[in-house]
Amino acid sequence: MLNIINTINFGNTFALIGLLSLPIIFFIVKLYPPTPREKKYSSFFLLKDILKTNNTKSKFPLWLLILRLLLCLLIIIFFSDPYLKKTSTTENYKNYVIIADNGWSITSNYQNYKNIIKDISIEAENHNKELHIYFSSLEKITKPNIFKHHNEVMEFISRNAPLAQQTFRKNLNKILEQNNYFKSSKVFYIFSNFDSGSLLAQNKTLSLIKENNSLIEIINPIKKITFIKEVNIKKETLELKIQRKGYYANNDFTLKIFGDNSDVLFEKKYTFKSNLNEYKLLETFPLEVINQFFKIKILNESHAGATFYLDDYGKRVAIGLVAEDEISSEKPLLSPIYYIKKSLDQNHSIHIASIKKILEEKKSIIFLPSNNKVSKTDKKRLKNWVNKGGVLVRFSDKNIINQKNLYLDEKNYFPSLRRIAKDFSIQEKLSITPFKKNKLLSSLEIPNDLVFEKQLIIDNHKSDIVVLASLEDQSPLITMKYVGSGKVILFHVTSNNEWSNLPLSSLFKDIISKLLLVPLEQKIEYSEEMSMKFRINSYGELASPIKTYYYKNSDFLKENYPSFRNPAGIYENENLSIALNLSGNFNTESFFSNIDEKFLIKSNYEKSVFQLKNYILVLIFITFFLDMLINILLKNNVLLIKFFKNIRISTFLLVFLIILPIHRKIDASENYNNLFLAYVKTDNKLFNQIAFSGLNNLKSYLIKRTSISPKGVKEIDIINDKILYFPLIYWKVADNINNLEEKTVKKIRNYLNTGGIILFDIIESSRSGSRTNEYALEKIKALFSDLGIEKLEQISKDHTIARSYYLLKNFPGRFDNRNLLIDTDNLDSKDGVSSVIVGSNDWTGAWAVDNNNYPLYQVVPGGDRQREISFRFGINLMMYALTGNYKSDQVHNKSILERLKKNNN
Amino acid sequence: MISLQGLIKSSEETADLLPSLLSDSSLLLKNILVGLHSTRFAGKGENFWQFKEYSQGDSISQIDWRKSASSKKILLKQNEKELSKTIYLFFDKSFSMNYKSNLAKHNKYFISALLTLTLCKLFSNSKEEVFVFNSENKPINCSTNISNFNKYFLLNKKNHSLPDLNLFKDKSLCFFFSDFLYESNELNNLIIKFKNRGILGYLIQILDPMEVNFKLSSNTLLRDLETNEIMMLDSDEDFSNKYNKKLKNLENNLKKICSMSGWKYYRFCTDQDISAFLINLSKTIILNNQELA
Repeated sequence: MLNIINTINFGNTFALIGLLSLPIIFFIVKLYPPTPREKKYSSFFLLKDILKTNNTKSKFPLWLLILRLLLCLLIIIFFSDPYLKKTSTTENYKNYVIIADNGWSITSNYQNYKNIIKDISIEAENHNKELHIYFSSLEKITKPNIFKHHNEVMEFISRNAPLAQQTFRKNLNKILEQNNYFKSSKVFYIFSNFDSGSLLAQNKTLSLIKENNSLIEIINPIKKITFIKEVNIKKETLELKIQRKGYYANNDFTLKIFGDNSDVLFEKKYTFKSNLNEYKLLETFPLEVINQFFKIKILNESHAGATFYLDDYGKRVAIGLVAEDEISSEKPLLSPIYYIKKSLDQNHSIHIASIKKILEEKKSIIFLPSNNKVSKTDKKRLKNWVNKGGVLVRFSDKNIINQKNLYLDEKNYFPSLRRIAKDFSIQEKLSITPFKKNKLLSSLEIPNDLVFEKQLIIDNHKSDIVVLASLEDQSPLITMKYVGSGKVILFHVTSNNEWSNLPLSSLFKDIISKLLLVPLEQKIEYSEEMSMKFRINSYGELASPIKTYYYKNSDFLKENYPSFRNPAGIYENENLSIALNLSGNFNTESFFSNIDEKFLIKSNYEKSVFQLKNYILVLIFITFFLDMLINILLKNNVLLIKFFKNIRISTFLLVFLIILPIHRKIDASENYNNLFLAYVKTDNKLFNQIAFSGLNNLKSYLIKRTSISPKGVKEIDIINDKILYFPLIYWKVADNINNLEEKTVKKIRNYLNTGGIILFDIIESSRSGSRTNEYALEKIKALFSDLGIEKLEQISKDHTIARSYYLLKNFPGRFDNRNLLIDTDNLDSKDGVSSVIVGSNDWTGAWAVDNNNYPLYQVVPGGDRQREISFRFGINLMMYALTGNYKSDQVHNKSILERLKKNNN
Repeated sequence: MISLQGLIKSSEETADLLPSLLSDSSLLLKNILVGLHSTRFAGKGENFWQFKEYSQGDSISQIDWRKSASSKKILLKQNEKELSKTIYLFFDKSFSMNYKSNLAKHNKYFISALLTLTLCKLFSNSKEEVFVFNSENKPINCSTNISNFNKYFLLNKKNHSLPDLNLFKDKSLCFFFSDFLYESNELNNLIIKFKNRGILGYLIQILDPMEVNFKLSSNTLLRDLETNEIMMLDSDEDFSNKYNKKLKNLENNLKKICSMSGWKYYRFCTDQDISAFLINLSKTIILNNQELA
């Protein structure tokens, strides 16, 4: 007990002065108790001798006073910030030291990381020790950051966000080698093996730490992480390797790919195979779609390892623009070249010249505007160039109609000119159909004011031409064809405003810039220096760089992973932009390797200080609530018993109690309001299924042929269920009939005596001729003697069952045993109705059908006729169960006899 | 202390109840059997009762000559005998009667005034002579004109008081409405004197449900309406037993006074059904009257 008291400490001891107020409160309350409520009363004549006349004010109840003092005490303690100290060994330490990794993986569990640091700093603060913080990824050897208050620590941590890189902890190692002061400090190392640049460096750091201070606590805050290990883009395929570590309840992860404008171009869910922590992802996209990709991200992972930025090689494209002569300066707005030139970004190298001159230089895309006369030789040259991989963008004009070789390949097309919104045309105004998703032009917006007057139409164009854009009537506007290893893109309108106002619109510029993505293929041929345009922060997002970094080709050869010299980011120069990603450039040696057991790595920080504040707050609330409750009860003179007596609560309780058994009532009412066919559940599942199916089929026969319409079929547990509701029960008996308890036997006996009928169908394990299974029969006989049925007789030919609906001579089921036994005991008391019918014809077997409504079993020997008779027996039996001996009335005899006569004739 | 102003105010308030009292009492009246005194005896009345053969000593003036001529007998025409009774209604107007707990709808004062007025109407309907005591304890005849019963009958008085014996006629019928929460010696003396003068009556104790089943929480200060005394309630487990015992004693005492002088005792609790009580009461009155007759 003393130990416990000793370990309680207070963060704010001044608040304890408030304790002095407690005796004051005590005396004030004692001296000035609350005035009682005054009530008028008729006469004290009767009360006089019983009660004493008392003018003094009553005492304040002591227990209530104590409760209120306790409340005050708790409030004071709450403000004095109490905590429990678990160990007192910390007194020997000079200070607290946190060495913290701050690499990329920290962001994935950043809150946990911060909580650990917070807890340690609170502990340090409570012990009045300084807290020294080192980040393991020190750029140079520095002195630690020293704090006294945990708020300062947290502010410092928030200011120094983790870095999107791995670290070798070189400078930390140096400090550890030199510095001796860790020995006299309480040291915590917040460590993530994902931050280690190499396994060797990691092991070195860990062993140095252990050497320095063997009591050091190593804590790994990373619980789980998923990251992109490898990214490969080869022409049209995107190959990703995703890895994960830690416990994930869900094996799914979602990949999202964004375009330059952060529009989502692709989203798909993948699933890790259970037990596997690596997923190889292979997706194929058209090159022009891949060229739009800018950022790949794993959803719900907030760190640089889950985001990958793609290089933008198309920063500067070599473009050729064909012009026969210099641009006509007279009417620039009518010139076919004008709009193309205007739409092209000036960053690109544009060469305006004749075809011959353009082809002499290396160009990746050539625009061939309208109204250009291409000589045969030029055409041949262009064809060769395209075949080798060039991309030609050409525009229609009135001359093109006479050409057949539109796409510069061997195939001939028959182009024609279509006039829109002119004579004989149906449509007045056509716009462009919205672009399909995941296509080259998909993200572009279509302006409203587009007008198309003329359009080039080609026959059989559907064959091998890719339609990039089409008008609302699905006629193509921009088409593309693969020719050799190159492509030819054809605009079905002119490149000036002759045929349409498309070249004037903003869409035209967008389309042209998208088309520039078509020829791009990965090529690494940068040699120049590039400066950082965006920094990739530890969350994997782009941010403005803190200072200017340069990236040289030589750097790339040396180290292609983010480091202090080259932090992760997007580097650019005039020609190209390259992304230096962390994801895909990991050194994964340390990720999955086991760490030596001598370095005891905890996953959580065990607090040596236990804050009591929250618990005391809860106590305050409870006491306050109690006080309020007591107050209300005292003031209003509410007695709890009365409260329950008077208020509707009791009715609610009653309603609740009533509702409980109500579902059983509903069940019962369903049973007695409707007619159900019933069978007794046996141990054999197959029997149960056959019985259900057979009775269900009989049910539909009953509905079809008679006025009986049973609601359904019920399975009865003969021991637990009530059977009184059912007029007829079918009981399939195998030779393994169980002995029934006295209670159940009594229930069955009652059922039979009150007019119920049970059809016992004895299933024989071995069928030999028409003999019934003796053993089963014996068992049943034993049961019957229990039930008080002594006498079973062969059914007579003129028994009511034989004529209750159909006139029957025999009662076959799946088999046609002549034996059908009925009980003849006590018939008088049951109005002559036999309540036990025993046979072995497997009737439900004959009635049962499969899912396709085909009979489940063959009936022998009689075939379909026997099955029909078997159904008739079922119907007769049901009629018998419902009407009793009604048909044996003399009234019916005449017509029955007539009918029998006919049959005999 | 209740000030004079307060007293006037509270009595005015009570008086304002009068219209509702009148209507309530006429409603009640409909539920009650009429005919307290149709005595079915021949006597001095206005209504014809029967013919009787003349015998010596009968008054000649009563002979119905026309009937006698047709029946060859001398027949006397006898009228119904009418016994007009004098009835005194007295209800307690002390402050204690003003008490009303949460359990009751009306205070005892209202209920006793209501009962008085109802009985007054009831008896005057059956041609009895009814006197109601006003706040100055003077009997006012209300049978000829019910409107004599005015607000002066409802003025509160501070203490219990009983009417003067000399104001009563011999062999009359009396109704006393009160809570009887006072020393019963004076009442006892009065009733003994009543007995000597052949005056019969009913003691009807009007109590509030709270007075019947006393229950108040602790930490409550009680103030006596009459004496203005203050009493602090301390919780006592045996308290209710003691109280019930005292109440029972009071009841027994009243019953004893009644049995000695041929009076009847009734208790009415203000949360009870008043019409049922009145029906019951009127039946007893009729029965008693017949017995006496």
